[in-house]
Amino acid sequence: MHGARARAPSRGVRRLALLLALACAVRLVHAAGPSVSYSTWIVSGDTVMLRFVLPVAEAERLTGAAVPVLTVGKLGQYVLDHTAVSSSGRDCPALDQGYDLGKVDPVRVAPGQYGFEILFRCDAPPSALVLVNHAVFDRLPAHVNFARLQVGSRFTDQLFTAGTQRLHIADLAAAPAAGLGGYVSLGLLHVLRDLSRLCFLVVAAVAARRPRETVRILAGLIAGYVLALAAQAAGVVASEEPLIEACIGFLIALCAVTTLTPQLERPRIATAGWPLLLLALAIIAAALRAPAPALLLAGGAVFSAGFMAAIRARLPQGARLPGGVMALPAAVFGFLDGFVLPSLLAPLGLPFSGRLRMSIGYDLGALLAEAGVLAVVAAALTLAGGGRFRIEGPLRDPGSSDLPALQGTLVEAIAVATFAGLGTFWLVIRLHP
Amino acid sequence: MNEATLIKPSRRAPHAGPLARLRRRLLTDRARLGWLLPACGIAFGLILAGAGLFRPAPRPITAVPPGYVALVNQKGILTSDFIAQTQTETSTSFDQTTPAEREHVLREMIDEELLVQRALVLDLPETTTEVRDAMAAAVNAQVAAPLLEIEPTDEELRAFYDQHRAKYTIGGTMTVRDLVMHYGTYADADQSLPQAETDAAEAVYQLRSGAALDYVMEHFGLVDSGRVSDGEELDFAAKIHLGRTLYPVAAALNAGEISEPVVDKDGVHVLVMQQRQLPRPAPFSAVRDQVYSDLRAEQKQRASAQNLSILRSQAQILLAPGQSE
Repeated sequence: MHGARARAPSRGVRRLALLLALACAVRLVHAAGPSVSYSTWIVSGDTVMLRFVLPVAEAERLTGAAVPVLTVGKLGQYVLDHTAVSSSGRDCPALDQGYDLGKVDPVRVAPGQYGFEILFRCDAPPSALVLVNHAVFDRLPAHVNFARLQVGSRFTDQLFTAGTQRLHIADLAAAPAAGLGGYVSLGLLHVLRDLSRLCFLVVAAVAARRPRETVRILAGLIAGYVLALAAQAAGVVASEEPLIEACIGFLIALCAVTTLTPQLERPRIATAGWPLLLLALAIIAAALRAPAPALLLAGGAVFSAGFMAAIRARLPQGARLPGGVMALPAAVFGFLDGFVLPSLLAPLGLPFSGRLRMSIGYDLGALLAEAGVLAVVAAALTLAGGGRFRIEGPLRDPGSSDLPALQGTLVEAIAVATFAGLGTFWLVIRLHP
Repeated sequence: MNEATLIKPSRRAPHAGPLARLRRRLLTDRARLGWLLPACGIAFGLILAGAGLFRPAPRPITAVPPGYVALVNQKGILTSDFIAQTQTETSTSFDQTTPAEREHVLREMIDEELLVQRALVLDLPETTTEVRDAMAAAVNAQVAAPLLEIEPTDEELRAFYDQHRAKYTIGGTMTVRDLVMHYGTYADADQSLPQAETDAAEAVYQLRSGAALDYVMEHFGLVDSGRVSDGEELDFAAKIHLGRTLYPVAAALNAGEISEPVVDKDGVHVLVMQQRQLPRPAPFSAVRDQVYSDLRAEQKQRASAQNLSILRSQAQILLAPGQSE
């Protein structure tokens, strides 16, 4: 016998869930990765040497509009046209670097990146310096340039964004680093602009179904970010950034399948089928000689099996998911998301201590955004449910010894299945960057 | 018999190990098993996925490892290189060098390492001809080094000499007049190549018939090319002066002979051999050093060709349409 008396989901809730799922699906599917570039401005005597590093993906985004044909020469000219230095109100022109180089010297950087050096010479040792960087922002307003200013042996970290394309440095000897607020803002936008992260938060909130559970999800997220910082301090780095994004897809699908499980007449289809699907994908990845994706998928399969077995063990006590269940995927999500900024900053080769302040700001911004999204979704679900946040259905067979099955509607099933499909799609597509 | 002795002693269970105790507890406590197994699955899954997702960051080397004298941007300078460089620069054994000398050499080596690293950042091997030439020469020298380690014996040198006997001669000289008939230049705009060849053939005919050289030159518009001097020239000098096209023709002439017309870049030439002393084969003892150098050069060339053959077999080379090599 099952104690919980479940109500049929209200029409409003069903429609809202479907709308949220379809909204995620409509923008399809390919949530573009973060758009970043890197610059180092080295002030020495009366010159400012700019080293600009542009990932190939960003360069390809410029192709066709800003750069008609992608060649190193044209890309270098684009960078030259979109950067400038002035000192005490007077322009510091870019120097011709001799031979046949012209004003832009292409330099060798890590694979998958273009590197350029431009030498600006001022009339006198620079003071009241203004660094200008318009590159990429006209094409991609969400673009971020992680900059470093070197004066002598002193480095300060700076940020160029669409809103901050000019940096004024009044006193070179005491140039302040970019404020924490800049990184908080980046973290906020990182979550709010990323479709897959929004999908995870929505599906986790829908799966939780109770405001108290939303708080537990938030606690899981905080724990994940803290653990990620601890892991980074211990010297752990992400192997490949796309695998993190693939894992986010996995978590979305897992939450969706978990939500769907109690509503199925035969929950074994989900509890056994999903891990088996992941296992099959892991075998395929291993056959394709992709060890990291194979390990990720195999781990996901075992994790899913354990997670669903834990839920299944507790389901007979009630017709809804056990309390606190979604905190675990949320913690994993937070842990993974905590490695995004370090992955982005990897080309700068900063030590953990050098990027700690940035990471804290970024993670704080991400958490604020996540808390906001969870609150909005929880409020929307509550309102749509006429003040009743629970979505429970009558037991299909109260006398059955099998797991209880909620009376799911077609609309609700489609909504959750859309999330499951999106998550699986992201998981698979991002395993092969 | 007291009461204690009447009680039949119970059979004692054998002492159970910790694993057996755990197994028994889990089997008797199904509820615990219900959460323990999933929890283990979750933990194992996280560890497995984590192994694919994460790796330890490469730790920067903060101390100079044994065998190295310095680290420059994590790249080591070998102690053996430092010792060798110090000995080369000071021309004394390392033990006898002063600390100041060693510091000076080390500073130079660090500077050089910084410059090399900067050159790699600037991609000089791809962009600078001199660097590419130096790299190609270094690779050729490296592949030839094993062959050059082995000194050739006299028998090998003599065998090489016998194979290339024609190359080792002494004493060849020639006094030759190189006459040229220009065509197609500003001054000879009306003269075409076929016409010049016909005129030159006629001039050769007349010279061979005994006509005076000055008369023929004036009549046909032949002039001295200026490539050779008026007097006697050694064969090697004549070879340089006359060039690849004319020298073989001249070398085949005997004294008093006149060549057929020869077309070269600047016009149609006629060679008049005035005096000729043919080269004599040089004895091995007289050209042993040259034979040694030539053998070494051939060994280097052969090693380089073999290396290139291997590299080409492993390379993917695509040629643009219409191109050939």
